Amino acid sequence: MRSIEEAACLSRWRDRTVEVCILCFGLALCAVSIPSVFAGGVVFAAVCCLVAVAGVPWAGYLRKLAVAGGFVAVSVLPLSVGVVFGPRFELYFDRSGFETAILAVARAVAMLSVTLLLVHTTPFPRLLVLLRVLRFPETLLELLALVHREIFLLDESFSRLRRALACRDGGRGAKHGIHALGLGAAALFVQALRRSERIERGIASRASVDGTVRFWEEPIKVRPLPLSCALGVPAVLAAWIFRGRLGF
Amino acid sequence: MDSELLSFRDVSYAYPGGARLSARFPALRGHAIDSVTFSVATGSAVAILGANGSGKSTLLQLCNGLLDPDSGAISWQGSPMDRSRSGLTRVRSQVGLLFQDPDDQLFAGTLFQDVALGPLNQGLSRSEVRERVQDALEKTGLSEYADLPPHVFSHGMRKRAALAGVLAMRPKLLLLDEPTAGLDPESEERLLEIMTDLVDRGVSILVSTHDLDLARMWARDTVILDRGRLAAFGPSEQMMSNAELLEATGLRRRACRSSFGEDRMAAATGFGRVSRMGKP
Repeated sequence: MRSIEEAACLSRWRDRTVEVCILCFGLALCAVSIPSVFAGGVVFAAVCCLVAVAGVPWAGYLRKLAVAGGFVAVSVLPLSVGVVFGPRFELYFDRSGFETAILAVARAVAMLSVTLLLVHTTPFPRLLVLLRVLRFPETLLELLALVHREIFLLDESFSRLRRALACRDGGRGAKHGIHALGLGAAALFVQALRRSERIERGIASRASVDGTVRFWEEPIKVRPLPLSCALGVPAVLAAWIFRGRLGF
Repeated sequence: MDSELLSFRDVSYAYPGGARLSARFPALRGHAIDSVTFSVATGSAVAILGANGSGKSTLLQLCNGLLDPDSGAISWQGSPMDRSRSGLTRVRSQVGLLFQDPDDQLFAGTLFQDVALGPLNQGLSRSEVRERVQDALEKTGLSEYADLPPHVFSHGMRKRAALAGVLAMRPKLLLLDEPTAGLDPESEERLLEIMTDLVDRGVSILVSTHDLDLARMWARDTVILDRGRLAAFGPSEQMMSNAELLEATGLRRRACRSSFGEDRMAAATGFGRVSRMGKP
């Protein structure tokens, strides 16, 4: 989380919220509608080029993609195995199931790569500004802003708790580690409750008696050249992916 | 410069459940604040001293209207503190509170947004909000970090960020809860400069602290709290020279002066028993 936020704040595209969102929306449409694994690879390659142009740190980007993609890839296994419940129990390799699973994974990984590009290049507060412009409910946006901050505070608290437990624990075995992790998670709930009470007081102390939070918003600027690139890249990609259907 | 800004008359406050706890465990007090009376004049620099759990933070939250006293009266600028929604908004616009833990008051996505929150709640125009935020960030030396989220900052920077958020509201009374705790000497000096500058401009400051040096060097007046009660209130020099008062209220180590303390120190440091000048 923290590394994503830092990458977004340092990204070359951090001030181009609208253009990046349009670009990612277009790429996401391409990703979910790819007809073959090869097309998925092309979308992924295009996203990788954009990652390089945006100056997103490769190591962090690929690590996150590998974790999320690996999670998705595990689903290939159950989908490529068929089961026959007859007089004799049989397991067999289901080729069509395997092909469907591979295509689904290709789409999911392509989509993940696009989502990761978005979050690595656009700071969350700027996304909220865009959502406000798009007339999302005010209460929901306030909630999102506070949850976003709270997640980082709890992440810090949890890291501290884990370090403190590890210090006293001395790294004794997996069983002990799981027990310590459970204790940490339980303590975190209490801390989260206390923290939210204190944040409520913090908001109130700054002249917000009714609890409403008004955030400063920089007006969104859209520049013609980046906007045309943001529209052009997915359009070209879509044209190449669907060239057969479009009759090129 | 000496008109009364804030005054407490016989103010008491107990946290919910405090009375039941103190009935079972006498060491835990029922009242966080017990019959406290004092006042703060315009442009004054006041230190609130007290041991842990003496009620310093509670007192500051009562000043800001975050807590409602159980009994007694709090006056703001000569009239009783208005507890209506608009009244509290007005009071909190003029009384800025810096919390002990900066994470209690940093909640926006970027530093700029966070500092702008108070002035926006005050209903100021965008140009004025921008001017105030830039001024506050400049004072606290954080101008170049305006676009960063607060969680990438160190503890010291978060403290300064929280202070910027309060300064941007341009309060008449500034309440600082242990502002120097966890700061390095350079940051501490910078903070003291900001505080001195504000007092020179007519802003009143109330600082809660354990730091006797801070109270001696910076504060004109000192309030000493002892287990929720007002133990003493007066000029800082006078308070700081009263060793017995400081020891009785737990602000200065009593053990070190006794022979038992010296033995313990000797055992801990391995330097042998320290003999007092002129004594065997």
